[in-house]
Amino acid sequence: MSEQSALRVSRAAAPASGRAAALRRRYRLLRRPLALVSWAILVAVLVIGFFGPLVTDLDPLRQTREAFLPIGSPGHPLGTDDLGRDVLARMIYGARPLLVVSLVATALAAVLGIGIGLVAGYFGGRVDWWLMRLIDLAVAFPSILLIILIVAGMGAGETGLTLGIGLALAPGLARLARALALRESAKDYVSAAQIGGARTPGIILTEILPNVAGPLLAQSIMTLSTAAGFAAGLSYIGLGIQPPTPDWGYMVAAGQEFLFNAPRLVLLPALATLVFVVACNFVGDDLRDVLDPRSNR
Amino acid sequence: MKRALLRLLAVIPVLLALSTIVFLAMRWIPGSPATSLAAGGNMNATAEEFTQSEERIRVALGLDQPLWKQYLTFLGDLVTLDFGTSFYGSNSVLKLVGEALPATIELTVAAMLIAILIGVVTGVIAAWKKDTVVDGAIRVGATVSFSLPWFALGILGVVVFGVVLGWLPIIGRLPNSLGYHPTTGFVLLDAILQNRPELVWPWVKHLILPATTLALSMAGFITRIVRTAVLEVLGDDFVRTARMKGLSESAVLRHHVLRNAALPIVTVLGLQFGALLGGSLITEMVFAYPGVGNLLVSAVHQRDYPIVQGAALAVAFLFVMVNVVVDLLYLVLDPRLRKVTA
Amino acid sequence: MVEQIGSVGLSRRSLLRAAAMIGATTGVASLMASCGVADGGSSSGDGERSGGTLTLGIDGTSAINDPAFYTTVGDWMAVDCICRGLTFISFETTEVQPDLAESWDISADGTTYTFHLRKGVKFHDGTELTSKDVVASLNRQFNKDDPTLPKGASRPLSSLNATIRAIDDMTVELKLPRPDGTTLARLSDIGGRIISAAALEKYGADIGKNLVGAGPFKFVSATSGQQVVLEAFDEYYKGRPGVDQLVLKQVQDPSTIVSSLISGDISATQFTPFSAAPRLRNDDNVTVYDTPFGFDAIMMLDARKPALKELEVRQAINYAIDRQAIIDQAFFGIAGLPKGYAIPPAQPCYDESLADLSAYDPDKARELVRSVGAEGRTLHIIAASDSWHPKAAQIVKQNLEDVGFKAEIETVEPATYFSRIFDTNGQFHELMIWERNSYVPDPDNMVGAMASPSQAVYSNAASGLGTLAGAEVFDELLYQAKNMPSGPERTKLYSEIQRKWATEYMTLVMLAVATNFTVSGANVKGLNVDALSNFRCFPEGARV
Repeated sequence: MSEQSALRVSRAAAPASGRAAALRRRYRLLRRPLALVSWAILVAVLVIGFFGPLVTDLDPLRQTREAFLPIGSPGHPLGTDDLGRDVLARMIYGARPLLVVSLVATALAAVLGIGIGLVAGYFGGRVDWWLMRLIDLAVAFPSILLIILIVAGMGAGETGLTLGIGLALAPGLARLARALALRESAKDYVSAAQIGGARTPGIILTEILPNVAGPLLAQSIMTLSTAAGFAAGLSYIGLGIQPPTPDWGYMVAAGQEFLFNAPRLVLLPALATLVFVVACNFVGDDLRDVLDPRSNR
Repeated sequence: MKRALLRLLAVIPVLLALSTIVFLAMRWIPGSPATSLAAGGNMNATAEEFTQSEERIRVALGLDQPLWKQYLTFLGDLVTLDFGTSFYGSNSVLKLVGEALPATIELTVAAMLIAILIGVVTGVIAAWKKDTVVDGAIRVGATVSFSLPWFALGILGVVVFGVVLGWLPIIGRLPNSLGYHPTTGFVLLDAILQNRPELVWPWVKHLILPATTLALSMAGFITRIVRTAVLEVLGDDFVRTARMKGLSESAVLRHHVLRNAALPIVTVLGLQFGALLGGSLITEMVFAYPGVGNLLVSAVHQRDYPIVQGAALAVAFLFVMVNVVVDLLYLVLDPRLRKVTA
Repeated sequence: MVEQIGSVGLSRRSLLRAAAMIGATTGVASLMASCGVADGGSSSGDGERSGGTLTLGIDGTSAINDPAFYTTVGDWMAVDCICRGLTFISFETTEVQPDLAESWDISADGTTYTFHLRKGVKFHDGTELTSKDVVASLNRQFNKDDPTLPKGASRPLSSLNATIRAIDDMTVELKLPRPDGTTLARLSDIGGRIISAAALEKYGADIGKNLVGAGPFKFVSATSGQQVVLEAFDEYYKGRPGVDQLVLKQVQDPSTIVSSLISGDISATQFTPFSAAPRLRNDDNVTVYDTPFGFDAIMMLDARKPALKELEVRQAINYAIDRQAIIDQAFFGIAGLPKGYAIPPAQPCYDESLADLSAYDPDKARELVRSVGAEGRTLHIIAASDSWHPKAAQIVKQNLEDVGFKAEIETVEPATYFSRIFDTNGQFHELMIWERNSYVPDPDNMVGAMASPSQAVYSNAASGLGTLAGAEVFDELLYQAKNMPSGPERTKLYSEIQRKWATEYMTLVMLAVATNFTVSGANVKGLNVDALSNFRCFPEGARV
């Protein structure tokens, strides 16, 4: 029911008149530069996160007795932190854990959520009912508790964090996938495939999935931004990456004590996280516009 | 009716499954409460004394029983609504959760109200000024708002308003000097019941920072929904009619547009309440706000099984019930849907 | 950093008192054969009433205040205020003073203590102190089957193995299996606090929710995870405390602690993050106290683990640690080099001739590593995730890697730390970063607790000292040391023990000696910060 209502809201947004559509196009053009910037940021963060450590010879772990050097110090363009480590190096290396955790967690959420959603939507009836109760359960499980339990069981670190976030974010995608599959499975091409004797997994994967891939991909990118926010936040409360491995979320937490004398230790990683998360959101928006023209949220 | 009843009944297996998962997970994670309790304040004990003390505590807490027996006991207690007592002293779980839950609900509702206020105002303006710079700015702002990492926002709020400006208190829920003794646990209700209006302002002041932090993450989302819904209604005939009748723009907005746009908005809000509840559990940790989130997290760390079980169940129950109510409300409110699904 | 011994921030009155005590100062153990004399002077309000509320920031509260049941430091600080013991140590000196016991006699063989109770002491419920209260309270420590013990009670004084009985209404007799010179000091600890027998009868195992003692503050309310509220007890036998209300408020987030101190939301706390030191020293809203260094920042080495089985490896680790970096970067100067090994400067028997046991010599460390072919060996460090621990862990990791080891860190929630240390079969760790506070200022509480091979936490669960050949000798040596009268002889014996322990076993690396960083609002006067920095709470003299 709630899935239907969500869908209804998005459908309701279909252009009401030719005039509105024209204005919408104009708005989209206006928004396009922002989207392009966001794409650039996303790509830049990915490149820096994955390839930065390969090209730089800065050491993010080397401690020195020169703590709290300011921005612009010789040899340390962004200064040093409380243990005398190079902040620029830590910023470059610190992107990777966030990227890995949020990307893998999103992939996990997508595979799990979309899989369950498509199966539920396609079969309907009893299968649907039970799968949706499973989703109810996952949604009702407080995500912070889920993640803390997983981390307590597996030890703090990337694995537990990724698993926890992936599980916590799967239900949202499952609901969307189910609603879309429900809509598609009533269509002629699906009945045609069924009559043609195609096997069920084949129908779901080769017939339905390509038709609903657009909105699901867009939603997955939005999920990526949620996952990144989650990952940074949980690292911040100490459930994620273990020190001294550089990580933006943990850097914010560790720098928090020095907010007054060295605010950059908090502001740099916090801003970087913020820009990355916001960029993910705009990219998701843009993708949705391109891939799923019906919606205009 | 049948559908509504079924929806209600479906809550039970969900909660049961959740309790079971929490029960098993707490016993699966390493670290025994008996060890922590035996070590507590008794760091001088000899190894022999320590082992005896640990074993005695394990027996006292019933942790020496096989897992299935513990689970049966747990289920039996659950059926009789006995949630047990904390391992750390014998505080009743019901009491502890009962003290913490109202605080969490207050925070969630306050955040919701702030988010609605911001979201509806900006959403309506954006729709009204569609495709102008204002609209564009609001839409960009909305995206930024719900992608803000809450923790950074919370810390900045604490520093700016709590420390530098000193306008707002930064921790807790009410100053001790007020001597608040809860009747219902909801401060606003208690202020009325106990006739203590002086409670209200300090309570509001303590709520502003955490609630706003939380609300900002939701406001952008509401802006988008409201904008879409209002745009849809604006295109409808009756709005055009009303305008032709010569009603002022604000009257059209109030009487026709908002009323008709309300339904999808309310639905989405209901769905978002759950997300907000999850968010408040985390926000509590930044502001040392005495809600279920703090209770839950510290209980996991202390391996205080009964509290984790009880608090998780309470949060899930609240969450599931809100969803059920939203679903049912939707059935009641929207005649079209009733026809389709009946 | 300069080591600062002595309290710069002491109030004038306590300085005068401390001066008055000089000359009367003898060792804890020397009191064994003497009688206590009633001490009129105390840290009470002396009639100076200012009223108001004193709010102390605490680590947490489970809303259980029970001397037989440890839950959090904060809950026990409340016990410290609600109840008094037979004896008392103010921490401004390390001297045992009479408290609810006016005086005592000790039998010639040192195993029987006869306490003469103070007359006319009122409990908060109006009853008067008699031997019945003392017997009922201490039986909860000595008798594991006492019906008023809650589930999970840890009974901190159980290791005295004593029995207690009433001789008459105002006299009790404590019998020990063998002499123990630390008895009087340990009775001043929180476990030895006396509860009203009437209240024990009334509440039974629920006494922790309704604690009734004869202390300066009486229990009002407690909310788990939030606060404990106490109020001044008008009839406290040493005079009404200076403030009307005492609130122990849970504040866990470090930056919140700092901003609450500045904004006045909390009046004082010993849980101030060290990192705030540079900033708070320059803030007129607060008073920073340089309390004497009374706690050990330690790293325990688990000698049972294959990676640490050679003594050379453990010695190499000890030589590898750059303690000055830890003092500067993890403690922000609020710590000193551990020149007396495990005995901090605030305690008797501190001996700087042991400074070489904590020498920093990376070359020697590298040589030792090479000598046993331990290059590249991976060591796992476990540390609590709060306060100075994760910082020290990172410095230690760097130090170890600099001399040829590999190191990995795992930080865990403080509440989970113990169950992880005892989980010897579980996830692997060889090095444990932790701290040892002195709830009782006696070397036995440091060296005795950590070097005794029969000890549960440090010597067995953490370091495995108890499994090493020849370590049994420490039990006898430590027993001898703790029963010696204070003086050079005792210091000498403790130094010998420590040297043997460090050079022949090396299961404990001293990282630093430090103090819990205590800060109050500028308006707070007369607070006993020496006690507070040792997690003890005697705020009856404080005014706001």
